[in-house]
Amino acid sequence: MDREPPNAVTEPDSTATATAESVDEASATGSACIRARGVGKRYTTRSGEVEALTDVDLTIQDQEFFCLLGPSGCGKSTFLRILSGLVSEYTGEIEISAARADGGSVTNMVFQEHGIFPWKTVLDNVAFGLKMDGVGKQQRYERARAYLEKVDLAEFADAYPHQLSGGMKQRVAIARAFTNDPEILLMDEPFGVLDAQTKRNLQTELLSLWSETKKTVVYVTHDIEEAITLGDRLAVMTARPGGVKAVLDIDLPRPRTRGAIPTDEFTTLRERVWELLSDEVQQSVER
Amino acid sequence: MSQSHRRQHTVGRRLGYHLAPILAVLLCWEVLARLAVLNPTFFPPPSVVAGVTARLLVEGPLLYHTWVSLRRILLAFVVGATSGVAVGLWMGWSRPVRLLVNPYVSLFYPIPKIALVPIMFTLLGVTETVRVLAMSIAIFLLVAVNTMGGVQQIDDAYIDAALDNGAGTLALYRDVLIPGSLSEVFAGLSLGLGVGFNLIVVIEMLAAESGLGYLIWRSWRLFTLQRMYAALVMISLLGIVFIYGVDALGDRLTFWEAE
Repeated sequence: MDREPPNAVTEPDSTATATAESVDEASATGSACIRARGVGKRYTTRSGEVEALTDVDLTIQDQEFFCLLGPSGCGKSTFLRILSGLVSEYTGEIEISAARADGGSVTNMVFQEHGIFPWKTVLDNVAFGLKMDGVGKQQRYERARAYLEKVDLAEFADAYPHQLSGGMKQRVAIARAFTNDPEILLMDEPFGVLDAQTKRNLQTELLSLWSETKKTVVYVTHDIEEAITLGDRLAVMTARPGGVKAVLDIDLPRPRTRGAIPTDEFTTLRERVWELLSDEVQQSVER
Repeated sequence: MSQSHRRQHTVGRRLGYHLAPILAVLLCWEVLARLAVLNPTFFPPPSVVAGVTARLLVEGPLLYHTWVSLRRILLAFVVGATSGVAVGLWMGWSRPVRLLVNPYVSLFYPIPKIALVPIMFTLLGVTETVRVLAMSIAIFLLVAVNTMGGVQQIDDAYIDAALDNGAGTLALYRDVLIPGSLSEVFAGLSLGLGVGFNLIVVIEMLAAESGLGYLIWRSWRLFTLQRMYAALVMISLLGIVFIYGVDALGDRLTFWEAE
């Protein structure tokens, strides 16, 4: 199966064509990594056609932490699956300008649940992507162990997922994504089913891994505070069919460890996002 | 250390719970037959059956007939299980294959396989191949249907995760579809063996000159009932070893589903 992301552009000349607008909204390096133009998606279900996404325009910068926030069922996961290449039929255009010299995968997903295999050890789960890329056993285990160390799971390398807590399983999933070393990490509510305390710890761990590696992250969530805590920018999506309602800069200082986020600014942002989101949530509830 | 000790302890205990009721029945039987409340001609006491079984195994034809039945079962199991798993995996994963093959499987699945045996004898002759083939078809159907179901119930996220990590077709089968459907595969093997055992005994009764089914039938006709019971003990032992053995192996291989 063809698993290349859609229209991967390998030349750096896409920077040259980046519009003035997208330079304005630049955060990290100022070059566009993902550009979506008029992206739409329809599903055919038993009860007829469902329009999941309509006319999504987004530019995501290189090395940016970008959050996609929206009511449940708004198609934000669908957008992520289109970026990953798991959904190959859609309308509109997507350009991904991330080159991989070694031919590895450009994107890698972290799923909400069931993303790691219960029949494989923690180590084999983390090394799975490298195995698929044909990396030898010794080398892939070495790299996997290094990331297991970083997420504090080194001693669980030979354990199986059913022996781990929910938070530990998601750390395995994150370790695998970073071990694969993709240009872009796609995260689909990875902490959605965790309790508040665990979620908080994992957010901190994720941010520290991200600042170490400077990957581009597209992070889907329905949790406003999570989006503000993590993101450089966030896009608020409309209720189904999902489109982009607004894109906001989150000008909060980093590192955003617990207690280091200015409370007033955080509250102001949260109120603003909540206002944008509340109509959409209302609509999706009424449906 | 202490944990494994405790485990052994519980295993021993569980075995005791399973065996106690059986031993109680055997003991009642023994006593009633000895007191001639049960007619010992029709119901020889278990101790006598055990003695006869041992004697016939050593010097009589019992070992030969057990071996013949065992060989048929093993052959049918290997043929039925491998083809069933292969076809079931393929049907589970590929929608076109499922649409193409499922009508045939669905047609034969509910038919009592024993009813098809005369047709097979007519077409292919009363041969060893047909006896084994009939049993392997029964195993094939149950394994294929269960394996297909097992593949279809695999959580989509596992498949997405494999594809997203760059799995090709071979890796998808090896790392996701086979382990993900393994417990249903083993459920199918166990069910298939149950049906297969029925089938081989009936076939041996009707159309064979050897095997434990043949021995049971002929002993009844000749009214050598002790011999009949001895054959019954052997086929029961084979059934217990195979069916529970497959169950136990399945549980062991799908250890992550126990919790």
